[in-house]
Amino acid sequence: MRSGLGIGIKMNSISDSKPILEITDLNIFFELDYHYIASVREKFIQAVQNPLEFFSPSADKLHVLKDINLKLYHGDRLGIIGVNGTGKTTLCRCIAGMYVPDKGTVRTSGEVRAIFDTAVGILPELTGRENAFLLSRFLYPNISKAERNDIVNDALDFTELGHFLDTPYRTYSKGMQTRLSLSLISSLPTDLLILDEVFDGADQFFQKKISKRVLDMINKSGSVIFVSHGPEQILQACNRAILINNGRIAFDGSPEEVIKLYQNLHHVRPTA
Amino acid sequence: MFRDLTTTLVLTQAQLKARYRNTVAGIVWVILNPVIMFGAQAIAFKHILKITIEDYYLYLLAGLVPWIFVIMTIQMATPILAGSGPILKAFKLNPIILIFSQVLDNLLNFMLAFSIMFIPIQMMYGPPAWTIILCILPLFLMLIGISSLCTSLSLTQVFYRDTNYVVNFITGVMFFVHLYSSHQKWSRQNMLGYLTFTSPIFTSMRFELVSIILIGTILFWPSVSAF
Repeated sequence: MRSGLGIGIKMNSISDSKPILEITDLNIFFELDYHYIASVREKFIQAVQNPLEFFSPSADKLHVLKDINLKLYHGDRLGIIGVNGTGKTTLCRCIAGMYVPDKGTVRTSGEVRAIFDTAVGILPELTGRENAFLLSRFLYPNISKAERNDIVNDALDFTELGHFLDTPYRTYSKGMQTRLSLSLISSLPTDLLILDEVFDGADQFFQKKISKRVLDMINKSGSVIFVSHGPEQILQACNRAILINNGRIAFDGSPEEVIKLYQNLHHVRPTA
Repeated sequence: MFRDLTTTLVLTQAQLKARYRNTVAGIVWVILNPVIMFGAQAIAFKHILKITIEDYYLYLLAGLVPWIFVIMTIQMATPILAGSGPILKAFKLNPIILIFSQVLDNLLNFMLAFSIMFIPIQMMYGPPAWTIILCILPLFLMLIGISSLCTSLSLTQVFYRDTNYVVNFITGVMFFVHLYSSHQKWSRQNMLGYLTFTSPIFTSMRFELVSIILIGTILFWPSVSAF
């Protein structure tokens, strides 16, 4: 199959008994602040009818993730698919340790590396090169200075940004920012890698080029969680997939089964 | 912990670079800013308002330069977490690193400005130059106090976005209230009475400048840490 990412990969099988990731009964709630548009008259009526609620409104809670149970082993390439707002990124952030679960546990063994936005610069006034070195500090905190120099210089060569690397990051287009970030994050494998819709923003030609590099890193990593809206990318990169629907894991199985269910659920026409 | 510390130092270095990029004066602003404020206040309070404080320039150095550090740090650090949402959501990063790197950035600016302004004052008033080493302890205490305060304010700003406005208002008022209230008690002779545990040392060794620096720091630090 050569659509989507454009490169075929060899499927890996589950080979280790100890899970790299173990999620048990995970629940996440978010507080929501509603700001409805209301006229002065309507606000006055609300204040008079229920002054306590008006001046100190209790925040509504959104149940984002509901009773999630998941185990990931070495060799698993897990694709996560679902419509917008269904909890995919929230789940990934929880696994990366960025959110604390309201209920349940998330246990990981080994190093977890995740990136959720490829168009973020730490200090936009600095150049792309300087931001790359800074970003490498956050992505690869445990490597030596010499290794860091090699990785960053290799990634910068890969971006093909040339002399733009020495111009301020704030002048970059989204595509240029994506090139820089993607090249950097695909430099070293890790135990658990989380890629959340990272190919957005990259042009068609660079996507083809970076796909090979990313897939090479995926193959070398222990486990991978790959979030994408593109079924073709899931089919190419993953040997297992889950469908998240309304905060729950609706199905866990092979990528083909999950994608078929996703398309039927949301009446999406399958692509050739 | 060690990893976070090295990341903080690297981020501090990067922020120092970014701060003065695309400016005409560049790193000279580190000196220019406190010198301009020093000159303006010396003229306004000493020559125009005729404030009766002995050794006013020494008093100003001891109080003004640390005050600029305290105020600038608080005002710059308070909105940091609320404004760094995209970075914090893009990859895993300890949010405290952002605050501490801002504090360290301002601290380095302060130490450079203070060291340079210390030279003419030391030449005018004569205490040995090595007495500046005695500032290390109060500086360290001030750093801890300011870091804690900035962390609290920055976290509060995430939930209550008017924290920034309140901070700007209170720091503006505090400066003038402090100037008015402190000058009544100040004089070179009696200020050593306020240094209960250090006065025997400084009286015997006559390190007046260091005492003034300590007082300047101690007077401002409790009012800030009272937050």
